[in-house]
Amino acid sequence: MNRPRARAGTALIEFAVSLMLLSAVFVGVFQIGYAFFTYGTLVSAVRAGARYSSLQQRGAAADPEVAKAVRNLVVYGDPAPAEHAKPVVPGLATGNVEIVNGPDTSTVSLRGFEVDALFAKLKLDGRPTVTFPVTTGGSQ
Amino acid sequence: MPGQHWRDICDAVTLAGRCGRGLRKFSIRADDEIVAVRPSSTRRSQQGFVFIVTAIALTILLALAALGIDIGRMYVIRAELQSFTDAAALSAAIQLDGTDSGIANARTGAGRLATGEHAMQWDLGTRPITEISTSFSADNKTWQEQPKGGDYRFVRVVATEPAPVIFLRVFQPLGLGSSTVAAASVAAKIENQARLIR
Repeated sequence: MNRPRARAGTALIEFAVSLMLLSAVFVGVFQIGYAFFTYGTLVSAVRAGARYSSLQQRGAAADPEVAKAVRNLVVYGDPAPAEHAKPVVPGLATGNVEIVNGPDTSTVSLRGFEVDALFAKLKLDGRPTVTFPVTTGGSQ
Repeated sequence: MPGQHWRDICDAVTLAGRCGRGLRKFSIRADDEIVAVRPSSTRRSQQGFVFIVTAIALTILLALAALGIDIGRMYVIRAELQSFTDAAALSAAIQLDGTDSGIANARTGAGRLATGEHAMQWDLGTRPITEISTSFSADNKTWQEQPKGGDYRFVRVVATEPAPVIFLRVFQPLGLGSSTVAAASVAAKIENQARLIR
């Protein structure tokens, strides 16, 4: 009777089920890969900010202009970014950058930032954190 | 439903629009009684073919995911450890003053940034850095872990951590479940300033 048609339908259903499974795997791999890539970018951005901050004079580190430059360096990769500069990671804002200057260290970390991996969000509060020591004039 | 009259089944399943398919599961004897038969062999051999192909494809995909996920994670961990060793080497180098106590202070200085409120961490900032080794050199060529009496102005900090692996375990005959990731930095104290050499 209608054998071939029935068989074609089976294959279609199997394909549909398989597609669901495969797309779940694709989505998962994309999410995790994107999150890792983004986190790596954020680590180097935060590292640059901490290093920059540690190289400033201790008195000047409390200067709001210096803090602004550090925030810009983390977010835009440039202490004095152009007018419509794009952040290194979509959604990252200068408000997410936390700077703590100790007597002989500078710490930069992210606060309240969410990496939008399209299908899930990775919450970053207090990480990545990078601390650099002040490297001029001995340990005084 | 063996023993039933075939018309009863056919009428019933026709309403659902599947008479033809439904009937093939039965054979009708000459006296109009029906008996159940097993599905034809050709039909059975075709069933599940897509699933087999999917299973093979999925195995290959998961192997690729191993590259994407496990190795991607290792690169992130290395970036984190590298940031740490850069800072730790500077922190150690600033303490060097050509004396034995300077070297002891340098060793403490290297580990200082791995603890406390603003500690740097690894594995996406979730685990404390524990394996830190420090060695010293006077000429940036020969390195000693426990130097005695000499003008040591170079310090090398190595951080080593076992990166957890999920998929790459397939390639580990011993099934360790982790792969070692390390980062190293060298700093020097030059004219009262600590600088990163490499």
